[in-house]
Amino acid sequence: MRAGIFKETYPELVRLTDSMPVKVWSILLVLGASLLPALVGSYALSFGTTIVITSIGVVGLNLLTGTCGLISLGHAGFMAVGAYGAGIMALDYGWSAIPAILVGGFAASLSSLLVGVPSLRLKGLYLAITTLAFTVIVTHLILNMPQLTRGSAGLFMPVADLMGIEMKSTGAFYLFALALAVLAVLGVLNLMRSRVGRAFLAIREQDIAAEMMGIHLARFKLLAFAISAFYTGIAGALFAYQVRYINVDSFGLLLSIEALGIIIVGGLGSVAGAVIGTVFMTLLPEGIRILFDLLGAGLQEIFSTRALELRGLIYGAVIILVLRFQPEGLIGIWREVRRIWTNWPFRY
Amino acid sequence: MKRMIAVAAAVQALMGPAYAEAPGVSDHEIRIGEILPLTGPASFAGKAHYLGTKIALAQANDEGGVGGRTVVALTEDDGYVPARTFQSAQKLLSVDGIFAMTGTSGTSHMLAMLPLLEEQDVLTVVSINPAESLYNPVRENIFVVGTSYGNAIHRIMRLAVEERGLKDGKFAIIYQEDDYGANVKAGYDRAVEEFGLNSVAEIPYKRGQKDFAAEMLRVANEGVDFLISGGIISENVAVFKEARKLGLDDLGIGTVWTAHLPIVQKLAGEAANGYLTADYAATLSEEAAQPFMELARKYLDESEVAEINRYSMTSYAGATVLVQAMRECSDDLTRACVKTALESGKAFEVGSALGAVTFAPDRHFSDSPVRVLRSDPEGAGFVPLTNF
Repeated sequence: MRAGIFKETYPELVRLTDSMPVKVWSILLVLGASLLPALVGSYALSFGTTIVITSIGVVGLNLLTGTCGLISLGHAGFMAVGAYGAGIMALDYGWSAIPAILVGGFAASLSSLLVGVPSLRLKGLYLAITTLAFTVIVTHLILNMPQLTRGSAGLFMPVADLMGIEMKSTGAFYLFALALAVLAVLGVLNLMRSRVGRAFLAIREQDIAAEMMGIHLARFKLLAFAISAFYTGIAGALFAYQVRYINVDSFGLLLSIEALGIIIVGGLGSVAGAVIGTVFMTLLPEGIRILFDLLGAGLQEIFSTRALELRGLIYGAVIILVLRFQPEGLIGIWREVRRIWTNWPFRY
Repeated sequence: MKRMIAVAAAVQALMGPAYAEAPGVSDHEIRIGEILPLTGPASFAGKAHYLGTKIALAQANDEGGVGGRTVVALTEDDGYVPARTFQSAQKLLSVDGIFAMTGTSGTSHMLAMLPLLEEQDVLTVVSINPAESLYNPVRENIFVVGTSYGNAIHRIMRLAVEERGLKDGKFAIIYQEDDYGANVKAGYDRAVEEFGLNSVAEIPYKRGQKDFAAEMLRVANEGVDFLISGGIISENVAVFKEARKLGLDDLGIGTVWTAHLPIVQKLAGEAANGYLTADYAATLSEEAAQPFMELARKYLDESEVAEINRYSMTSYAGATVLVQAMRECSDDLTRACVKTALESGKAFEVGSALGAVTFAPDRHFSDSPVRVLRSDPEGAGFVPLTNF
């Protein structure tokens, strides 16, 4: 059992993990997630797909907001750019899924420079409002460039294909999205232990001090936006392939706020927290629905259409309670459990 | 007729194996699905639609159901978010196993689940949002009850030209920048071209906009005689109020059936006097709607009756059409048979609040007759200016 962590060399410090149990459990988790198509039906699997796709976008947002300290309410816009980028390449140019998705990611990344530049001078709520405006601009452009985007009519996406083979089943697409999510998480974890990731952290803690240490603020802030938007663009492209129809309604402003909610509930700055937050926030409404179903049809009869408002209230109340009793987010619960496990029978 | 339908269905079943099964049908029950905006900004329509279906199915089940089977509606809330509509469709199709759909939320929401519905050959009767993209071109399993927003606008403008003598007047439109607005604008453009009208201002606005002072100032400056307000609820209310504030008493304003709701009159107050709307459903207070209201009072509680509106009548019509078509096939209840029954050209009677509904193999759109009404909040509520 570990009693503490001692790092004696720099390579030790930057290793992804030096813990064998962490490696084993991580591999088991991925294997378990890969077995999902064999274990559950297509409806449950659609939640799985939503969770892995959302995780990619949220991990990207977490890198920007949780790690680098730059608040963004423009991620719905990046997601839209990614979705339309992939959609246009797939529909108009017949590109297969992987290159189309990459185009979506890079298009979002490129567009993020528009928002990244103001971030050099703006912070906090001022930056949030600027990024919010980005989503409005993207929506406006989509509606007013019908030759490219089909305007308000939206795009019907083809079935995603991998090397010419169509991923028609929900299971195949889930596994494809899961593979990309694993790559995305590994990518961010690797980034976090590099000079770039540490620069992001330094900027979050005190950007003036970071600059004094030789971190080029403009370069690293723009880089944070570009990487974050790339992830979100990939998520948008996958979303387009999942639903197979996109229009501006799919990328409302609320989406950005929900994404921020996920990283706050999960635990700001933590990759695991972002994933846990995604799982929790995606499954919470379904959990409440199942609870209502268990309580019986009588409840539905009593409340009629107001039963749904009651469900909405419970959803909000659960989130408030989580944040009230676990301000560090859900990852805080995990850290606490791990601390108790490691130190038992001692308190500290 | 029944024999013809049965023969046609048998032939079709042989040709298309996808129709051979009937999910959602058991010896005692038929499950139909609805995905509606029961929460969120469009809940006024979603809740009313839910209640209309509830009335239709309660009545159908009281009359013996379909071949002795009870028809049950499984309703999901999408909160007016397309991604949730898609997820709900997955649930209804793969977990609940529905036979058909009757509640389909907004246009983009319906389009989000359209690939799923088409791949799984789910019979769908759309009655909440008759968007053109759902019936033009004809989609194999989608049947649309109602008329298009464009037809409603065209009818209002025809009245403005023919009965208000505005052939040489100045026309303008304020429309939402989305699929809904595009449908409204299409009707406006058609009328402008057909009647040779002078359109002096075509002003788009972004969804969610609440203030229309600038747009209405432009309408005033252009000396517009007749304005098409392409908003939904709050946008139309803002336009009516702004017109009153600017003293545009002679300005005629027309809009689609989203303004055929008492809530719009209530919100607009004095500004609600005189605007025109067009609808294919009767007004709740008029004689034609009273049989429906009696059913509502029979099958709903008081608080539910208070929530019904024109969307309840249209959903009642949609569900009734589906039930009648299913009854044609009660001995051999397959989607193929019901589809053939719907396409048979038969006029499905859906009560006096809406005209009879007819489809054909090359026309999955009822194109229900529409009439123009004038808002009269202090009097009858809505006064019909034309017939259906």
